[in-house]
Amino acid sequence: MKINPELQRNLWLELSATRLLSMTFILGLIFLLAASDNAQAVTMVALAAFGLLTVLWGSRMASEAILDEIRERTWDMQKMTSINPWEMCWGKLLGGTIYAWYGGLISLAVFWVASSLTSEGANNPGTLVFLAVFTALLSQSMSLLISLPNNSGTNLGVKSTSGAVLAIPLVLMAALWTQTDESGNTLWYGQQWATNRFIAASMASFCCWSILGIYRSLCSELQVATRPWAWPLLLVFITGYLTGFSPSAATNSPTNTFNLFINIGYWVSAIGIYVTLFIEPKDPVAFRHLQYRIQSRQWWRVTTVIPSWFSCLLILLTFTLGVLIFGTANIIADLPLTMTTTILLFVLRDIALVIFIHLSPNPKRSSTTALFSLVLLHLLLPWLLAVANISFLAGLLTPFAMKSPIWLMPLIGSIEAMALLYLIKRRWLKLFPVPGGMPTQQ
Amino acid sequence: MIEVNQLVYDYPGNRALDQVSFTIPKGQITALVGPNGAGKTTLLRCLAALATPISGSIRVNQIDVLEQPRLCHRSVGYLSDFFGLYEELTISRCLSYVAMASGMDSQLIADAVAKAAARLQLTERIQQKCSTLSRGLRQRVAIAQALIHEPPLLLLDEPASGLDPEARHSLAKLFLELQQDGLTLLVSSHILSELEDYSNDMLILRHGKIVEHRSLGNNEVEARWLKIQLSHPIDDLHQLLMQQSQVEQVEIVPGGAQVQISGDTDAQSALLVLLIAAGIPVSEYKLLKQDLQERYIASIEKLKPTADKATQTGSSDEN
Repeated sequence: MKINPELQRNLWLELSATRLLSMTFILGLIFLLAASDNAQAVTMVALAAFGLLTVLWGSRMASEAILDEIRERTWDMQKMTSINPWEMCWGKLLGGTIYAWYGGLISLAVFWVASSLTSEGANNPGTLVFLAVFTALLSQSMSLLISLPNNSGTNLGVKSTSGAVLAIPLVLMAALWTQTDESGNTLWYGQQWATNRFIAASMASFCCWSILGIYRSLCSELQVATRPWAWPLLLVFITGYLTGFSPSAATNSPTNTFNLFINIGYWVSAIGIYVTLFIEPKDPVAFRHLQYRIQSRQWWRVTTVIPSWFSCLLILLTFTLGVLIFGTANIIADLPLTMTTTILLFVLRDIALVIFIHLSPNPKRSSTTALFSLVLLHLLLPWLLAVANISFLAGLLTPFAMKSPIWLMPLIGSIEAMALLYLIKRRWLKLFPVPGGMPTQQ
Repeated sequence: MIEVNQLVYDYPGNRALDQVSFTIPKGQITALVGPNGAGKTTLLRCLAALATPISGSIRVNQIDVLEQPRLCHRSVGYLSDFFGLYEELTISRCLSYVAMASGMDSQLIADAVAKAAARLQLTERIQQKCSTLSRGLRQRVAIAQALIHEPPLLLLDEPASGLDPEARHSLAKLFLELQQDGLTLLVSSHILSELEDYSNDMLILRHGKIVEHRSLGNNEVEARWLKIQLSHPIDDLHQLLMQQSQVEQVEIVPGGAQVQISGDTDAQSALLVLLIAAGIPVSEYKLLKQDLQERYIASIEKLKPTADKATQTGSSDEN
């Protein structure tokens, strides 16, 4: 049987006899002390130990699994091996955290046994174990995902310890999204689900997405070509997931549910564009790769270098068309239909603005400048204008300036987007003048 | 073994490789030289399919590197300038891991590890942890890792930096052994003296462009310097030497002279006959081998007027 090399390496490093014995001894001592004080407390202590070991420490270890390779300069060597992205994904996710899982599984076993022995044991321990395992997996996979380098060869700059912290909101979100009825069940698409089970299933779904994210990032690192379908699919999944919680979904009205789906999809894909816009490389080199593939008509390769925000933009366009055709713009944010187009145009302007900033001759801290510019345009300046009692001017900056003439807004968005596209073209030609701009074809 | 054509690589705001083209046949040891920032590391990373150029083509062992980067990795061993090892693993486990990760059949791994360790003279230390090894031994482990899947091409980026003279000598010996085994090596360095002992040809990279690609063999017809030592000093030595048709330049040195002649070894032999016939008391007559450093400087010097001219033209255009 062929063993996953990355998993094998981690087993060599993590599971020495001394380490295994130490963990068993320390956990045994803790559970013994808890049992001597109060037999009931063992279940709580075991669950807490599992959380500490797998969620907090395990997330840190998952993050270190990749950061260590980069820090210790072994990542290039790994990238040149024949390990495929799936093997690397599981090798790092399970292998890097194997010692935390060793302690975690002992804790879970103690929890299970203690629950079955005590009369006031946890209600439905099976679901709790399922929930605990997927919470740990989600947290660890998110940490690993955040620590992976992006296409430009640098990681997102997130420190290993913050990986676990960033994963926690996701865990909480699943709990907050749930709506419970009188009996404590969750209503989703009009169906009753036991809340614990629903949260566990949500965790498992998001865990799958997180692992898919790791796989896709590793494909990029290991030079396995991929097409830009993952982000659009994720946006549609989130839209479908959120739609299930609406009261109209609960009343089993397909038309209302569909309208709501389109509306939620509109906002989710708009947010998705901003997320992908900031996490993907936008330097001139990345765009030159795209330009070269297009000009040399390598259409199949174009799909491998096309940015994810572009595929998210296509999803936003689809949802915008849906909103315009079915006339349902006021379901969520009480916005008139004109605003749907306006927001789309302002999103285009923002994309152009962020790219324009990244094409500057001195691209250092471009992402911070771009983020600051967007906050300034959408928040700070409109606020200042409102304070100065000239809030109608805010329509020049953000689509959410309600006191500006509504019919004028799409025009403003178009003009600004066009102006920025023109500026991008000028800056591009300055960076790559036409005679030497296009490299010789292969 | 390596065919590079019109390679262009850009970093944001900087062109690292500019229309680079060259070919390296199988079995050569090529010295990749150039100043810091010339693009040597970028070129090696492109050849190792670790960096994707904007345009151009690379073929390594008949594989299109840009089309099949993963396949290319099987034909290439790469040692980066700042390589890392798994410090807490033994040499044996490090090599076993790389062998497994290279897709080697599990039954062949033990033999491959033993062979790589023997090749790099690591057999006696195979159970030693990498964290306990000296710089020279670490270098050997890293090369063993790069070689374990037996690639036909080995790319080495500054392999001798930080090594003591003994370790450098041993490394040079190893490279020659690898060449005898049929491997092709491309070795980058800006310390030219270390490349001299084993290189067959030299690829000079400057400002992202290939400035020169030349053989370092001694059989080419070119201007050569000879050292002529006399048994006793004579007057008008300079004039006597300059009268010989092959001689182009004469420098009088203590005890004799150094002359530059044109032509091959026959011209060299003919000159000796003429010198004896002219009554010059020759006690020593030998070819002065131009070292890599001198050849590199000579190549760069040749370029300078062109570069200066280009700079002047560029500035006048701007004005």
